[in-house]
Amino acid sequence: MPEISMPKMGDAMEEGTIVRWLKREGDPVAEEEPIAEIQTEKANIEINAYQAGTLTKILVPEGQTVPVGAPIAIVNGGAGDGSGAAPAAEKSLAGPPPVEQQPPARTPQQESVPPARAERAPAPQPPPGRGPQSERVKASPMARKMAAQHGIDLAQIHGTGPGGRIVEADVEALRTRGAPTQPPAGYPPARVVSPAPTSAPRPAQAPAPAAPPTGAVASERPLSPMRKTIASRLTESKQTIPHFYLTSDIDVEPLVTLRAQFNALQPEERRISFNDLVVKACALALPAFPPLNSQLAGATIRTMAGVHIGVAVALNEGLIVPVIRDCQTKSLTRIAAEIREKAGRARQGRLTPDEYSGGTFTVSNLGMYDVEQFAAVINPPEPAILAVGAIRDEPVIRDGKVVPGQRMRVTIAVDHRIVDGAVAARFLQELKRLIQAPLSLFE
Amino acid sequence: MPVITYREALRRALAEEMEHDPGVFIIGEEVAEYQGTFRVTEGLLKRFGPQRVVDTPISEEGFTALGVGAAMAGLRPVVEYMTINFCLRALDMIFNHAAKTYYMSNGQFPIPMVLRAPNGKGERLSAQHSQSLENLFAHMPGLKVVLPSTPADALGLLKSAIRDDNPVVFLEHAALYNLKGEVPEEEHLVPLGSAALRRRGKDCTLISYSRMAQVCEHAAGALAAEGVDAEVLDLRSLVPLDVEAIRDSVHRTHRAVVVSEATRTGSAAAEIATRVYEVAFDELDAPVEIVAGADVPMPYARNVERLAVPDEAAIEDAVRRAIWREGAPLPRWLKEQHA
Repeated sequence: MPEISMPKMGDAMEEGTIVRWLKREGDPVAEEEPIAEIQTEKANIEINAYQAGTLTKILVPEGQTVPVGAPIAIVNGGAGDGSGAAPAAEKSLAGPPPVEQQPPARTPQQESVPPARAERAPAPQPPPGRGPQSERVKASPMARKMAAQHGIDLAQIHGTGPGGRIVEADVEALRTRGAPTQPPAGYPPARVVSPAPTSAPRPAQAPAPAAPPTGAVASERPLSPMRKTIASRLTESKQTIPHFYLTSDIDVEPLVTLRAQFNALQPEERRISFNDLVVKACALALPAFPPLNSQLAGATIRTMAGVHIGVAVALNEGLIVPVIRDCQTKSLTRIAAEIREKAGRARQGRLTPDEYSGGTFTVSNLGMYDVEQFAAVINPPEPAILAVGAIRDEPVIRDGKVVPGQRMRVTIAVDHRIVDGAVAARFLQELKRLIQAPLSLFE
Repeated sequence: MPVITYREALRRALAEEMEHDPGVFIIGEEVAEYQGTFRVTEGLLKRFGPQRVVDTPISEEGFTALGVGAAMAGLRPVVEYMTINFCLRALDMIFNHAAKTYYMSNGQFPIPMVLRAPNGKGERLSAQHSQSLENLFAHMPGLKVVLPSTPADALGLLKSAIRDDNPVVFLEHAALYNLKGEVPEEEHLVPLGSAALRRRGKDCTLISYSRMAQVCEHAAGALAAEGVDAEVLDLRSLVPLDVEAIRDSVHRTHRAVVVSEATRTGSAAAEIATRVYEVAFDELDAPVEIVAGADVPMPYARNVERLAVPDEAAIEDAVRRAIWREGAPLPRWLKEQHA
């Protein structure tokens, strides 16, 4: 019986959540046809059948999270596989109606989404009435008893039993140090964390036990997979990378003028943003500063061949950094188009892992929120991140006179293990030069 | 201690009890001249004579009724069926008369009677001759149900069954008759309703009886090689059920797998699992697993017959499921539990 298992969609992926089944038990599937949508730490991805056949068994219900490699479905090849699965028609009497057959009007909370998209939109929670199991913490009675005895909040525990059930050993492990627990002897160690080869040892995955609330609690909910990833990666970054920060105040008056002229000639969908221009400026500046395009790999400094710039995109829940590859070879309009397209899909949770990994540098822009300047946290294993503030009208001194000007502050956070202050400062100078003489960006 | 077979232990129990109490007699098909279909009663006709070792026609209902009447009259009949499958003709006598007369006569007529038979799967005997029918008897109030898995228990339990003042369904297993084991030389009585801890372990309790208790011990041995420490509890009787022993064991191991050769639906195995939940709910670290016969008439074809009856591998997998933790290989069917 060929099993479909939870795929590993990227080095850091350890578990995935079934967002929805696109097929139901008994449905025929074609080779490479999507059968389910899964949510990884970063995005929603469709899983395809490896072969044509019948989806005979769904092993993991919607909303449930399972480790990488765990079987999630069985697809039997050909007709009459004799696996004991009841014919589809029989099952449909008992099972919930398939997603595809639901009239779009059934999900009123998604009314603003066009029906064709409704199926594809990210759905971190199973639709109402479809899966009662998602909210409840799964724990064995023994584990519950022990947790109660020791005043431990079960929501803080990572369950390592079947289906993520919290078992006695998980409570015991947390009680005696927060150590990851071991299955009985003879079994491989539970949950082998595979650190990215370039990064320092990751901090323990087990979250610290929650302090008892000191006031009235309005609500509690478990961390989403994305939240977990953000929490662990940025904690790792701040704890292991010695950050330093340099800020530059840039005259953007010519840039504002030139962009206005350019955009006036473009149809709406081809207009460029200030952020596109900053990314382009970085793409032009970075090749001259190899340390800022390098990564620390143990005792080795690895300088990357291309300039792959990540652009932080805020989501309703969390953020994601789609990566524009080989920016050093791309025109401004190409970069702008790619950012627009990828940011759009990022907001729908529909980026593939290779579209949000492998960056060498990140640009994070909070200018649209009128933030003057800020310092960002480096996204490992990248060596630096550029934080872009708002463009402000302010008085400047030119030729000994105070005149109206337009300025923008950028702050680069740099990994001091690989990049020294002078190198980063020269990069910032070059960036400033390019932005202040903006015609070179419009290539 | 002498080593004898399960068959010899049963024979010794019969002989000792016939010596001990002149009211004990054996009745059934081929028990006397032929010396027993499975040779359990060998030599007894010669030793105790045709008054006490009685051959009957093929008439299960008749000789069961005769046993009930003899018991009402104060004797201690041991009724033998060639196999348990043949007693189905006598179920009215067993269920309505043997099981209920003591109650319905307001205690005037105890029925001190033993109904002996090989129970369970043979080798390719097909659907009508391979049944494990203990669940039927365990279901019927008024009957005790005893299933020894070792020679020592065959001896000690049969002697206790014969001395018991209630009707006792004493189910032997055809596949165990040649099993050898140590048996005490002195008088050996095993009280009905006391389970035996066959193997100590800390990870999971295998709860079983009859031949499956033996299979569980083998499975526990194999699991030990993986570092899994399974405890094996041999119930020895389904009625009375040693709930205390079950409770104590599961309180130690926090996981339970109930193993039975009989088909699962409506089974004693399911009842035992329920008792585990009742007496050890807050101690459980995993759902109780049941490993039982497939709910099918026993197939004749050897390959399919094998699939219908639990084997060591099935038991081991159930234990692996019960103790499964993230990172360990997924045992068979665990994924279905996920769903």
